[in-house]
Parts: sequence; C-alpha cells; structure tokens
Amino acid sequence: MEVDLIFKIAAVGIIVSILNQVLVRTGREEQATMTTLAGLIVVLMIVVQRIADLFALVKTLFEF
Amino acid sequence: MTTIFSVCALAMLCAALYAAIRRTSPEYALGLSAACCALVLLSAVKLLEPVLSFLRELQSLSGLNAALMAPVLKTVAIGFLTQISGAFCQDAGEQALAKSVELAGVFLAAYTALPLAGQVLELLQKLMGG
Repeated sequence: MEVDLIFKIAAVGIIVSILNQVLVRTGREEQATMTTLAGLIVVLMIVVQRIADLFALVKTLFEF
Repeated sequence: MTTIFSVCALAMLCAALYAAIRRTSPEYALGLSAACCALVLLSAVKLLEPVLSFLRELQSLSGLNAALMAPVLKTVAIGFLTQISGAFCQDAGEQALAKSVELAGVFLAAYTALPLAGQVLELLQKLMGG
C-alpha cells in the first residue's frame, strides 16, 4: 500500500496553509489564493489517479 | 490477513492527519480522505477476485446462463460505487449531491435488473400458458 501518498497530500496541505498565511500577512491575497488553488490541483491530480484505478478495477472485476 | 492490519493502520494514520489539517485547510483534508479511501478499497476489492471466480464456478456447475448472472454483479458494483461516492459527497457537506448520487444508483440498478424482471415475466406467461 502506498502510505507515502497520504503523507504527500498531508504535507502539501500543511505547506500550502503556511504559505497562505505568510502571503496573507504580507498583503498578497491574490498570490495566496493562487497558491491554494495550485496546491489543490496537485492534490486532486494525485487523488483522481487513484480513484480512476479503483473504478477501473471495479469495472474489470464486475464485468461492466 | 496482513491486508486488514495495513488497512486499519492506514485508516488511523489518515484520521490523525485529517484531524491535523482539517482546521487550516479543509479542502486538502477532503483530498486526503479520498486518497485513503481509494487506497483502502483498492487493496480490499482485489480480494474479491477469488470470491467472484468461485461464484462463476458455481454458475457453470449449476448450468446457469451467464446473461442472468451479469445484472446481479453489475447491481452489486453500482451499489458499491454509489455508496462510496455518496459518503464522499456527505463528507464534503453536500447532502443534496449525495442523495442525487444514491438516487441515480437506485435508478441504474433498477434499469440493470430490468432484463431479469422481463425474463421472470416471460417464464410466468409460459407457466400460465399465455
């Protein structure tokens, strides 16, 4: 099982939240929003691959 | 047997990380929970393969038509996927989406089981001599 995937997502979440707070404190709200959005897209790319794997497995197992 | 230990450990680890990042970044917490669900299910669903092959063996032994077995398996898969997707939508706080997915699953299951119901009707008509 790929436990590093879970750590990766949690790490991205923590780093982005820290970056977000730093950028907001320095008055760069737009950049903070863009950083959050970019991090979210990265996480979603990782998650969507796994979910696609799961759906493909179910598809082959149950003969869809 | 080791699968259950790794599944439990992964779920607990994910729950701890979820609690850690939920307040600061709830969107990442949701992604984390989705990834954990996908990993757990990927490792668990693989174990269904021998069960399904045993079912197929039973089907071939009993001489049951494969066309009768396919809707049953498809309905199981539809139920499984809709339950997981609905629960995920509920986690994201979208009750309406969750209910829509569940309702879509019900409709799809009914549609998938329709050929079986048609065959039962045909059989009944034959038995009654109609």
